[in-house]
Parts: sequence; C-alpha cells; structure tokens
Amino acid sequence: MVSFRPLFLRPAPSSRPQRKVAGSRLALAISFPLGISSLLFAVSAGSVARTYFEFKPAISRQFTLQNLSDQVIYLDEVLTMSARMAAASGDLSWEERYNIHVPQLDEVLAEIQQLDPASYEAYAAKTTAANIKLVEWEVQAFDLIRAGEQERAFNLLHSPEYEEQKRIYAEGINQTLEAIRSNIQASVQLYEQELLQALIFSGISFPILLLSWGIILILVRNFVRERNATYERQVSDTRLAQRFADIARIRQEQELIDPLTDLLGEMRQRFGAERVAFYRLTAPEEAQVIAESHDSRLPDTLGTLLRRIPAPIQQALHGGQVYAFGPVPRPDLGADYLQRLATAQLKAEMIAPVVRGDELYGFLAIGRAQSQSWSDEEQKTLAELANRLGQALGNLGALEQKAVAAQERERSEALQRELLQLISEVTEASRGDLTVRAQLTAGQVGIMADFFNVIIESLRDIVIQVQQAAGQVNQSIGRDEAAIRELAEAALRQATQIEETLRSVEQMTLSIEEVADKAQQAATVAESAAATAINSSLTMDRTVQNILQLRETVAETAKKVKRLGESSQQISKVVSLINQIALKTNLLAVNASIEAARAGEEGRGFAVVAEEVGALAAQSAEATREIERIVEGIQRETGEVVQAMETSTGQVVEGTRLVEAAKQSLGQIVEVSRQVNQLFQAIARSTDAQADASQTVRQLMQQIANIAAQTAAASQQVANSLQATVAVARQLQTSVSTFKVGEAV
Amino acid sequence: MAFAQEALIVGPHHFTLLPNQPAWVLGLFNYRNRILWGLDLPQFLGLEPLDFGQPEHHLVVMRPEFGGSASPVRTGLGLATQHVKGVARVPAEEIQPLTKAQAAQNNFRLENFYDSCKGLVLEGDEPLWVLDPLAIVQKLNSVDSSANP
Repeated sequence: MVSFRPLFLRPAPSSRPQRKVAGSRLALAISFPLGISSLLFAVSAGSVARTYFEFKPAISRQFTLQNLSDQVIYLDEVLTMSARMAAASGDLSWEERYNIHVPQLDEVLAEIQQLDPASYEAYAAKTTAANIKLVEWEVQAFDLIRAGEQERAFNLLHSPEYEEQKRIYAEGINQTLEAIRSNIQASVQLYEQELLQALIFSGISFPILLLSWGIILILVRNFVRERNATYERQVSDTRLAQRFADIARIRQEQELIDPLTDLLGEMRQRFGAERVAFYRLTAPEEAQVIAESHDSRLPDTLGTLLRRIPAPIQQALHGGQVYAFGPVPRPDLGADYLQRLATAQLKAEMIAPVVRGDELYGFLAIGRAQSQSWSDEEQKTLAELANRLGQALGNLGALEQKAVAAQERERSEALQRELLQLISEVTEASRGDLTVRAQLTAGQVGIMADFFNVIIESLRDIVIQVQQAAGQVNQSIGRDEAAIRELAEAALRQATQIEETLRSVEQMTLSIEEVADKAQQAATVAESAAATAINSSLTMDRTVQNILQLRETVAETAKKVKRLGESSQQISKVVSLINQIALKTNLLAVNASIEAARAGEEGRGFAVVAEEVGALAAQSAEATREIERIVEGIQRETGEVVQAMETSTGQVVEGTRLVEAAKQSLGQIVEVSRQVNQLFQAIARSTDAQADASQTVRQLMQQIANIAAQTAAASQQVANSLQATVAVARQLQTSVSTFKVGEAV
Repeated sequence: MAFAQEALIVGPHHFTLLPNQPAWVLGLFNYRNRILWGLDLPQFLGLEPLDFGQPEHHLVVMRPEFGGSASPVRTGLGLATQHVKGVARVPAEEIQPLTKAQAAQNNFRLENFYDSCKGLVLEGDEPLWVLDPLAIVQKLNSVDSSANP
C-alpha cells in the first residue's frame, strides 16, 4: 500500500531523461570495451612486429657467418691440399691453384671480421699467427719445389710443426664457428621467448575481448527494449489522454458507459491485466459494476452488485489510497468478496478510489488471473489514472444544484396559485360541459392547462364522433334491416330453386341410367356382330380350302390331258411307221410287176397280184393318212384343253386371292366390332360413374338445400339482432347527448 | 418297159458327187456291184428339183442298151423321183406323139423334155408322159462329151 497523493503529471514525464541516460550510458559502456580491445590489439600487434623486425637481420647475419666459417675451413683445406699435392707430385700447377685461393680466404676472413668482430677478435691473434706461419711454410715449400728439392718441401709440409700450426689454426677456426653457432642459438631462443610471450598475451586478451563485446551486445539489446517500451508507453499515454478527454466532454451519466469502457480497455492493456472494472457507488457500502473490460476467456461481471464493500477496501477508499493485494485468499476480505473474485477468476487485485469533487464517486479495480504482488510503480500509476478519471468526471452534472433550493419554494407557491385558478376554470367539464377552456399562463401550470385544453378538445372530438357514429349506426341499421330481409327472402328463394335443381338432377340420373342400359345393349349387338364376322371368316376359310382342292384337281386333269397328247404323238409315230411300210410295200409291188413284165406272158397273173398288192399298199397309206389327221385333231384339242385348264388355274388363283382379301376385311370387321364393343362398355362404365356422380350431386344439393334453410333462419336471427342493435344505438345516442359540445354537429 | 429293172429307196448320201456335171446329175451310185448314174428327174425335166433335206428318195433303176444287140452297151440309170406311184401297162398304140405346144404348155425344160419324151397317154383327163430312157442316156452322154472333149 502506498500513500495516495494527487498527481497532475504530463503523460510519462520521466521517459525523456531516462532515454538520455540510457543513450549516454550506452556510449560510455561501448567505448570502454572498445578502448580495451583496441589497446590489446595494438600491444599484441606491436610486440609481434618488433620481434619480427628485430630478429630477421640478426638471424640472417648469423646464417651468413656460419656460411663464411664453412668457406674458411674449405679454403684452408684447399690451400693445404694444394701445397701437399704440389710437394708430392712436384707439379707447379698446384701452386697456381694455391695462389688463386689465397685471396679468397683473405676476403672471407675479412668479411667474418666485419660481420662479427667480437667472436672473430677472441681467436684472431692465435689464428692469424698460425695462418701466417702456415702460409710462410707453404710459400717456402713451393720455392723448394721450384728449386727441385721436392722431398724437402714434402717433409716440410708433413713436419710436426706444420701439423701443430695447422691444428692451432683449425682450432681457432672451430672456436670462431662455435661462437657463431652459440650466438645463433641464443638469438633463436630469444626469438622463441618473444613469440611465446606474444602468444600468451593474445590468449589472455581474447576472453577479455569476448567479454567486452558480450557486454556491448547486452547493453544494446537493453537499450532497444527500453526504447520500445518507452514508445509504447507514449502511445498508450496519448490514447489514455484521448479517452480522458472523451470522458470530460460528457454531461450525462448514461453517455458515460462507452467511453469509460474504452478507457478501461486501454488501462487493461497498460497493466497487462485480465480484468479492469469500474464500480459506481450506489450506497455508502454498496457498489455496482457499470463498465468493464476483460480478457475474452473470462466471464462477464458487468452490472453485478457488490452488496457490502469489504472493510479494508472501504478504509482505503475513504483514505484516498490504493488497495492492492496479491495472493488470495485473504481472510480480512470476507467470504462474499472472495466468492466474487473466484467467479471473476482473479487471483490478484488492485483498487483505487475515484473522487469527483469531494465525494467518492466509485472505484477502479484491476485484476490478474495469476497470483502476484503489485509493484509500487504500478500502484502509483493506478492512483494517478484514478485521479485523472475523477477530474474528467468532474464536469458530470456540475451545472445545477446551487440556486435550485431557493427557487424551489417560490415556484411551488406560484404553482399552487395557478393550480387553484385552473381548477376553478375547468370544474364545468366534470359536469359534461366540454366547451370550457383553461386560461393559458406562462409556466408549468400553463403547460398543464394547455394539456388539459387539448384533452378536453380531443374528448369533445370523441363525443362528437360518437354522436355521429351513433346516428350513422341507426341509419345504416335501418338500411341493413331491409337488406337482411331481402337476404332472408333470397335465401328462401334459393332453397326452392335448389329443390327444383334437385328434381332435375334426379331426372338426369334416370336418363343417364337409361343411356347406360342402351350402351350395354349396343355392346351386346356389337359383340354378336363380331361373332357373326368370326363365323363368316371360318366359312371363308373352308371356301378357300375347297378352291385349293379344285385347283389341285384341275392341275391333275391337265397332267392327264398332257399325257394323252403324248400318247397321240406315239400313235402318230406308229402311223408313220405303217406309212413307210406301205410305201415299201408299194415299191415291192412295183418291182414285182416289173419282174412279172420281164417274165412275159407267164407273169401276167403275178402282175395282177402285184398290182393288187400295190393297191393295198396305196389303201393302207391312205388309211394311215386318215389316222394322222385324226391324231392331229386329238392333239389340237388336247392343247386347247390344256390352255383352258391353265386359264382356269389362273382364275382359281385369283379367286383364292379375292377370298383372302375378303377374309382380311372380315378380320378388320371383327376388330372394329370388338373396338365398338369396348367403346360401348367404356360408355356404360362412364355412365355408371356419371350416375354415381349425379347421385352425389343430388346429395350435395340436398345439403345445400339444408344449408339454405339454415341461412334463411340465420338471416332472420341477424335481422332480430339488428333490431336489438338499433335499440342499443338509440340508448347510446341519448347518453352521449348529455355532453355539451357547443354548436350542433 | 424292156429297160426297167426295179424301184429302190435311197438316201442322198449314197451318191458320189461328180464335178463338171449338170445340176440334174446327182452323181454315181453303187447298186449290187454295178455303177448307176443318179439323175434328178424333175430337175432334168425342168421342174422343181428334189429336196435334198429329205432322208430318202425313190429311185427307178433303168438299164437301157445301145448299139444294137450285137455289141450291147449297158448304162445304168437311177431316175430319182419324189414318189413311185405304181406300174401302168399301156399298149404302145395308145401313146400319142408329143407336140411342141403341149410341151410348152407344161413349163418343162423344153430341150430335155422334148428330146426325151416319146409321147403321152391319157388316163382319164390326166396326161401321163412316156419317157424314153435311151434319149436320156444320149442326153447324158452328150453332156459328158461336151464336158470332156
């Protein structure tokens, strides 16, 4: 709980300097690790560079020296060997070689001296002395060789003194070389040490760099977050200011709810809360939720009544303090309020009073669904917001209240006077006089008088209308009575006509039944016609069969006749044979008579016989000719018979065809008569149905007749009722006439 | 009558045709190992020739003799006719000589008919022509000699 004091702050006044601090701190924080890392880098780079530049010439010099020392050993050996070879072989060309290499050795020695005077000087004295002695001996040896004393030269060069000097010389050279090598080693060791140091330094500086850059990263992230939060806060502040401005414009409490709900939504967002409610005090210890904003998953508590505000809260409200509590339950809140929190699904709540002018108007409640304690800043912000809300509400209903009381008394007195006047003016109205009018005065009674006048006026209108209506009712009932009487008569007439119709329908039924009978008879006739046609068809079939048999008979006859023709042909063949025989006989007779003639007188008798034979032959020829004629006649006639037969066969075929056609026609007749039969039967059926239908019609007509009778009775009744209505209307007229309505209507 | 021998029935294919002969010579004809001349008698006489489409003809075989009885030359003749009616015996004195008018009247091949006809015999109203076989043979011979000089 923090002390509540009115704060009139601009929206988020702390945001600007805070951002500035964050920015400068960030720059500082970033520049520090940046400086460290640059320093580390510079140091390590410097040390590496130094090592590199220092050791490169030293080492190359050492290597040159070693190289030169090797050359000295080589050249020395070449000189000794040249001298000894010259002594051994007596050849002076070795001297030439010797002379070439001497200056080279000198050059190399001079170079060594120049490069490393220290190590050279240490052994210079001994070596130089030995060298000089050796050179002397060698020159001497060459001289001896030139003088022919080869053996002496050889001995000189292999003498122990020469060897001694050579050893001294070699030792000096070796020592020089040793010195050079140790120098090189020392340099390399130094170089390694330096490198190791640089490495160690780098190893140490790497985590430092890592750390410093990590720090930079964290700082930048925090900065960005802070800036975002600040921006959001600013936007929210702007919106809140807008809402407060909206609320401040409102003069009536009814309009308050919507902007208040908007404001609560904004606040809910600001606090990240699940529920924000505004309780309006309805009694000293009672409050009602009039506006609310809550998470969509939570239930609605809008309009609920808090019957008893718990004591700690009430205390805080009256003390103008914010009441915040984290984890529930808290026993001092009372079971009722805890139950309420459970219903709203809240675990933590923060309550701030809203004061309008000097009265406690209501309170804001911000709830969270998780148990948590509220920070001081949150409480402070809530207190500030509640304060601003109270100020915004200050305009609500602030106009009146003051001079009201003073005016009240005066007004009531005037009112009483005006009322008395009004009553005296309108008393007549209670006695039915609707012509009275109240006098119109200024003020509320004037308005009332006006209303009264309007009422009396409309009452008068109504009475006039009632009077008119009663008159009209009387008139129209008079008219209606006549109409109803006509109606009753018409109903009676209708009943009689229906009776007549009923009789007609009965006649119609009878005639329909007759039609049905006739149709039945016609069907029977058609059926018999069909039967006759079928019989005829059978007869036709028999005729056809007979004709066919006749045809066969004719065909057979024709065959026989043809055979007869063939037989006559055979006859004619035989006849021609006989004819030929007759001819030959004739010839034989001729020959016989010739022979007889040749025989002379004795042959006369024979000649006579022969002549007779010839005559017979002629006769038989004649007879055969006769037969031929007859046979020809037979053949001709049989041909005619055959032709006639064929003609008759054709006629038979034609007859058969005609009979077939007749049979088909008969079949059609049968079909047609069958259809006629069916049609007649259909007619019979239809007429039966018609008869039924007319029966039904008759019944219906009967019913209609009954109904007409009822209608007649009803219309009589209606006439009676109308009579009664007339009486009632007359009564109404007399009672309405008691009202006085001024001029006649 | 002295030359007539017999009457035969012969088919036209029995004749062996000869070249350079008049139309009325049908050809040579072998009968009982003797050669006969087959003549178309109606054509010879100037009448309608015989119908060769017919299967057979009647043939009257003649064997006239020449040159007297001392050196008889026998030439066989086969006179083909349509029909041999019969044999008639007529006394020689009844034969009337033929006149030219009569010959012309009958539309015959005048030359042959006149040369070879001895005369006619009336049997009822109908005249029967009496032919001389010798005249016919002479005619045949004259044709032969004119054809083969």
